[in-house]
Amino acid sequence: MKTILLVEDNPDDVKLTKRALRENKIANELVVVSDGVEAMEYLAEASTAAEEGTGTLPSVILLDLKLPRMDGLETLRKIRADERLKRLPVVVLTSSKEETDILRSYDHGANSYIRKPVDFEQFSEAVRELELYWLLLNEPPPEITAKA
Amino acid sequence: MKTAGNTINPPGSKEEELLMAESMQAAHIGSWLLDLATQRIVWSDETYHIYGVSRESFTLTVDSFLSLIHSDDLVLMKEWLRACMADEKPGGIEFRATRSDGSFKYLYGRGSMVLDKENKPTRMVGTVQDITRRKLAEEALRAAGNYNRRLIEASLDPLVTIGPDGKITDVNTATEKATGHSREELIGADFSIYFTEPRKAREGYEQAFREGEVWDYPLKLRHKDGTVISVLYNASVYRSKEGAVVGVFAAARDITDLERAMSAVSESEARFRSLVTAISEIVWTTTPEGLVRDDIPTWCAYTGQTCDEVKGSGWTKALHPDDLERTLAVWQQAVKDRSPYRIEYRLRRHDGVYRYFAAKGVPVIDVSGTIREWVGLCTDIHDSKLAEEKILHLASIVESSDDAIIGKALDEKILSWNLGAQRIYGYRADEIVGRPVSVLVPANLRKELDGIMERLKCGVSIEHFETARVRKDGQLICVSLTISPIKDSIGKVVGASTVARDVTERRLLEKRELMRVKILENLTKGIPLREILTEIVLHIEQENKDIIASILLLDKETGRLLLGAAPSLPRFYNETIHGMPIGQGIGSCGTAAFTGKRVVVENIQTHPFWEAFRDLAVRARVASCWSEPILSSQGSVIGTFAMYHRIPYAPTDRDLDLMKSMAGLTSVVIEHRQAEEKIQKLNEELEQRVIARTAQLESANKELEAFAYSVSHDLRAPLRSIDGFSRILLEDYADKLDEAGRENLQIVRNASQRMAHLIDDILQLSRLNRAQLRLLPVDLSALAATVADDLRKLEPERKVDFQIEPGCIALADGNQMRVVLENLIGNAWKFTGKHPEAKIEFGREMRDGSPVFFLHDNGVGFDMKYAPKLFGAFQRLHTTSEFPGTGIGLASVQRIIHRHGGKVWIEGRVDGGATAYFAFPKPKQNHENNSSG
Repeated sequence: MKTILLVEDNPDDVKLTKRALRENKIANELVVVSDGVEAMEYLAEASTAAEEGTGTLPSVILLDLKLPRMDGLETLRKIRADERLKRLPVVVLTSSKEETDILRSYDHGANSYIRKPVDFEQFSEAVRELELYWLLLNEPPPEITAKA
Repeated sequence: MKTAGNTINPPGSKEEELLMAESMQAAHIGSWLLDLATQRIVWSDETYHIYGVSRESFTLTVDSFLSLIHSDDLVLMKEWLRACMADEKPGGIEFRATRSDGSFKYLYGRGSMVLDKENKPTRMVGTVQDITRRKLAEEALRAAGNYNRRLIEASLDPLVTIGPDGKITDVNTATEKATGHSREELIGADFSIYFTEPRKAREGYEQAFREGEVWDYPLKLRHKDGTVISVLYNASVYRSKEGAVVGVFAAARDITDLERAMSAVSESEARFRSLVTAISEIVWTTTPEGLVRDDIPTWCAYTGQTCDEVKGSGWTKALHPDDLERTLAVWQQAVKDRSPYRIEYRLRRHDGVYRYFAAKGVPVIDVSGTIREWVGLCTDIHDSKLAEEKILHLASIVESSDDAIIGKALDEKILSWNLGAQRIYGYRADEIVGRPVSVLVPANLRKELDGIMERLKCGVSIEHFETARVRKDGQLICVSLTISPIKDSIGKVVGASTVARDVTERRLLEKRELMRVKILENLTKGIPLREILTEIVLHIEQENKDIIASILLLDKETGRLLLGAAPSLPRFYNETIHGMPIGQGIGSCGTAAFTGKRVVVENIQTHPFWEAFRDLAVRARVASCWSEPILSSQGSVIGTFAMYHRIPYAPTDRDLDLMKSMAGLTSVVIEHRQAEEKIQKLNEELEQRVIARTAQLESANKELEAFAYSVSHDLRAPLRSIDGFSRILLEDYADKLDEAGRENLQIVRNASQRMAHLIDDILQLSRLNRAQLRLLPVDLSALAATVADDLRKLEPERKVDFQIEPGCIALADGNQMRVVLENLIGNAWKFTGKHPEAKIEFGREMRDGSPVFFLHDNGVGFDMKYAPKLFGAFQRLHTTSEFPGTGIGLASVQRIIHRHGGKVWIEGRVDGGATAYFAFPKPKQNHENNSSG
């Protein structure tokens, strides 16, 4: 079972994301952490588990930029700096479409940048397409699938 | 034959014979008789008279008769006599008879035979008549005719005679030559046809016929070969013996030849004149009293006076008026003293030119000791006189020159010495001429002189060579020398001329100028003020070793003098002066600074201003002190410049000038430094302010960015929740909500989405401010087409006629221009939405020579009274239900155009469409350079 890691501190957005997944009948496991620190802790455990064959790394990380403690860009930098995590697909999912945010995200190695639409229909559609793309169409790096 | 009557035996009665004889005598007809038998001849008295012989002395025989006949006519006479005797009746005979004096007479003789009864000739009788007078008249007439004809033929002028009908009756050879036609051709031809203007020729001879004569009638004669000569005709009529006019005699004169001849004459005249002129010596004589009596042709020829005009004292009229009085005085004195006369004066030549002459005269004294006459000579000395004057002129130039002009021989001996040399070196000519030039050369420069002499000997000149020389008083001076070799006529160097100029003063000024420049340079280099002031003081002290200088600065607030620079005054002195208050009578400087006027204290020990400082001055070994106030450009005292001497000393004007100029320089230095300090302070302040401003701006920018970040992240999130959960509510609780509830929830969702749009737009607007402008040529036409295409794709059902003028290029930021066109075209698209034949036009027009871009639509337009509100953020003229929008579009457009330095405005009217205009500033010349380079 492919896992999605959602790094999101806003519980409303978490709820809406889960709703969108449900409406789009996406049954993959959604792991939610509320900031970068938690995300890194989770990923450290997950990679260990993956190495031990007791778990898997998430197939895609949906990363908000504005986060308490460790923000999205810092988290992204840490992921890319980590030998075990650096190939993980990371999709920046955020409210901003400020140019600086977009540029910095890609500079830090984001695989994609999605702006959360205000209109729920559009939001739901975006989530559906994300799942379709990253979980079905995209061929993940071997460390994610090897022991799955 | 005693009487005439008896000598002849006439055929008639005695009375008849007598009568006959009488009448013959009266008619001067002589008669004669020859007896053939006896050969005896009898003559009448008249006959004797005619032959010029007397009856008494002349033995009349045939032979003696024949001896009277002219030898040329003898044969004729003999033949006549024979013919008469043969009774051939030969008629009369004309012959000449010679008289005893050798002259001859023309005679006419007649003769006839007297026959006897048997018809035999017995004797011959006849008459003789003197026809000399008639014959001579005839001869003269004939000779005259020949002569005239010869003259006519010999004439070089073409001569013709013309009949009343205008036909030529006679011509001479010259006419043949002039016309090229022969005499035969000419005679009988019409006179007028040989001229270029026949009518004028005809009028000419007609006038002669009418008036009797014509003079200098100009005509042009044409030669057969075509050449034409100018002639003047003189014509007069000639008449028959009866006085009737029978023709015109016309003489032509070739003027060409005449002119040539005339010029030849004037040439020879000129040659003669020049010959006279060339003979510059005039020999003259006068009476013992000094009056001209004899002709002086050479004088006359030269002056153009007539010989009579010269007579007496008339010759003086040819003298130059300025020389007259003097000449007369000298001449009269010489005559009075009987002493040689010698003078130079200007003599007027015949053409009015005055030339210098030297006149000399001596009295000729005879044995008795009385003066017989004066003889003398005048010689043209004009050219040598002028040459002499020129030399004198040159000499006076040399003498009056400010420069020393010295001539010297190759052995260095001075040969000539002008006043300039005396002034510069101090020697008089009589002191130095003959001495070697080396006396002027300082001992250490001897070698230099040797070098100069060597070069001169090779013929090389030396120009503007600056060196030192010694004056007579031992003072060293700076001179600039130009030395040229003097060569003799074969080019050998025999000496040298030296032109020397005293450049001591110039050198001094140059050094001072250099110092000034150096000081000003140092000023700009930021060298400390004290060092620069010290430099000024040291320069003055070096220039004049007797001077000790000091610069004091005035502290305006305390009114005290502070030490500026006085490196050569003792420390204790400077320390005492430092902080000295200014005031009337407080030393030289204190007083000068107080009064703002120069103070000259020649003797410190006696001057009241120095009463309190005398001991100090003694200890510092200064005896005089002059002080010049240093004035600012506004005229206020900022210090003093002082010059001290070790002995009591009165300043010269030059000293005072120097002091004043140094005070001026010091003032410039101080003021410049003060200004510099002020500028530096201002700069520092400015820098501080810039830093502060920049920091403010940076923090403002940061705040703005943080705000935008926060807005874009945080403001949208709640909206998403509002919309999302309203949606969930609508879906999950649909059965619990009535229609109104669902509508209300939908309103909540719409509002939140609209809010999201507003946030996006305001973020875009703020981004426009922050983004860097990149100016490049942008094809607005292409951009407009792209925007139009996007709109068509978005609403393919709309029918809009787009008209885009190609080639609208502007220097602008492409991204931002896209925003502009998206907004403007978007608006036009929007506001033509209800128009069945929507039309949107983008193009360019020229206003005041600059392009203005416009976007026109035929949409709903607007009321111009709202035009000022159009560009405000969130300003809308329509309700959202009419036309959607946030009201941020035109604000963005204006922001962008303004950031480009341009202008934007909109014109329109209700239901009349709208036109948005925008224009960019004219690109500066270097703008393009910057962007391309």
